Amino acid sequence: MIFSKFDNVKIAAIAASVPEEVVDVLSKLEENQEDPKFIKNFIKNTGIKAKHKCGYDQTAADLSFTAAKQIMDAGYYQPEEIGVLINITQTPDYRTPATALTLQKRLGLTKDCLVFDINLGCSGFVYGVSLAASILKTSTAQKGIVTVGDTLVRGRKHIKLKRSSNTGLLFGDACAAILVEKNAEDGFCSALMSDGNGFKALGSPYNAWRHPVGPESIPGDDIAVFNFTIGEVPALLKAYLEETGTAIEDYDDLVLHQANMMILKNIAKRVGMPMEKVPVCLDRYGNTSGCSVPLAIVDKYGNAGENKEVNLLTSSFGIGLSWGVIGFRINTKDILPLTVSYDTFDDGYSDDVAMDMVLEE
Amino acid sequence: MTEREKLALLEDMLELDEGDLSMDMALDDVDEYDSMAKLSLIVLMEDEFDVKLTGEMIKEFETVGDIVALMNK
Repeated sequence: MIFSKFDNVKIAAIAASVPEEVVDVLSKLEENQEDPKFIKNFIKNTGIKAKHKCGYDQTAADLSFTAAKQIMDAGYYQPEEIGVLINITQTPDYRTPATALTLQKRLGLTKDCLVFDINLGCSGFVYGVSLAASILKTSTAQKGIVTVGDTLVRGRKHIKLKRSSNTGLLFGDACAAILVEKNAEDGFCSALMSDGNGFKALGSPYNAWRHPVGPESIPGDDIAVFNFTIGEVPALLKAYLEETGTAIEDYDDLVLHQANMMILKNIAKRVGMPMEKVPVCLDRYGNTSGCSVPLAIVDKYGNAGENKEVNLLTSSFGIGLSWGVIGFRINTKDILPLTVSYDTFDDGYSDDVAMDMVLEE
Repeated sequence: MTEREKLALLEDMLELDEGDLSMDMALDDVDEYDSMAKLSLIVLMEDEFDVKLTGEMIKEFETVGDIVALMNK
């Protein structure tokens, strides 16, 4: 593992945003879209009953913008204070440039800012926060924003998507923003790992440069992913506890990537954390990819109206394969209420003109 | 652990009634043995028998007895 200790850097605020439309998984039964037994078993085993879904006019960047703006509007930063903006997504607005650049423009950040995208999925939270903290530690930047999340449910205009049943039901659209800043008193640690040997376990290998045409997603290797998750993630959590000289009992919550209930229960059991201290939000939001850890934190504390410090142990894991752990303290007043995003972005490009160009070729 | 006790573990995992499974029963004929059940089986085998199942091992299972044969206690 790559272990990092970030003295004098803190996670200063967390916000998350979801689109307005709610998809009830059981409604798929009524619409007769799926095998009834499959749906019932799916709900029983995954715990996922509903999720939010973006319409065609909204992207992950819009949800990320809403969350980052919410933190700004709450007075946590001025645009000119931000020296780092990292956007982590698998569903960017464009192939180029990086979507983070449009977020920089929309948030009104200055040119004195490092701005880039990272292509990671479910592990996005731990990677993004660790990278932002690393840059803050070695630069003149004082504050950084990490935006993380995907729109894996949202369809694409003009394109009929073919997906596996599990993928279609499992995911939910949501994005989060995390403010990381230099601070004289605080600090936190992270442990990160990756394994490229598992690059085929989960993925969308088509529609980029090696395989330009193909389906939007392909079925993952469920068994390989499950074995990875219940093996590697508890092992890294235990290694993190040992490295930091802490015990699982020292933490108020174990916040895990909301993959599915079976995985949450197994990881919790293997590290000795009772399920009462494992926040669950996948029942209402589905598996929200890289956003799921901050979303689970926002879901538990965002509307609690409390003013108390909590010690959180978090772990994100998934596609790559890629996984990590972060433990940090945060005051619950700095965890903002969940917002519904109505933001969109008129970038001046026209889908209709683009389709005409495709047909002419 | 007797063979009957091992079958009972699988019946419990698959939410079947006692006696529903037999050693020579083809897994293809057990409706409840779906993709999610295979994940539950991974947990059961590791927790109860310290056996780590891989995807390849699971693909090779043809009968209920093939699973029971790995229950080594």
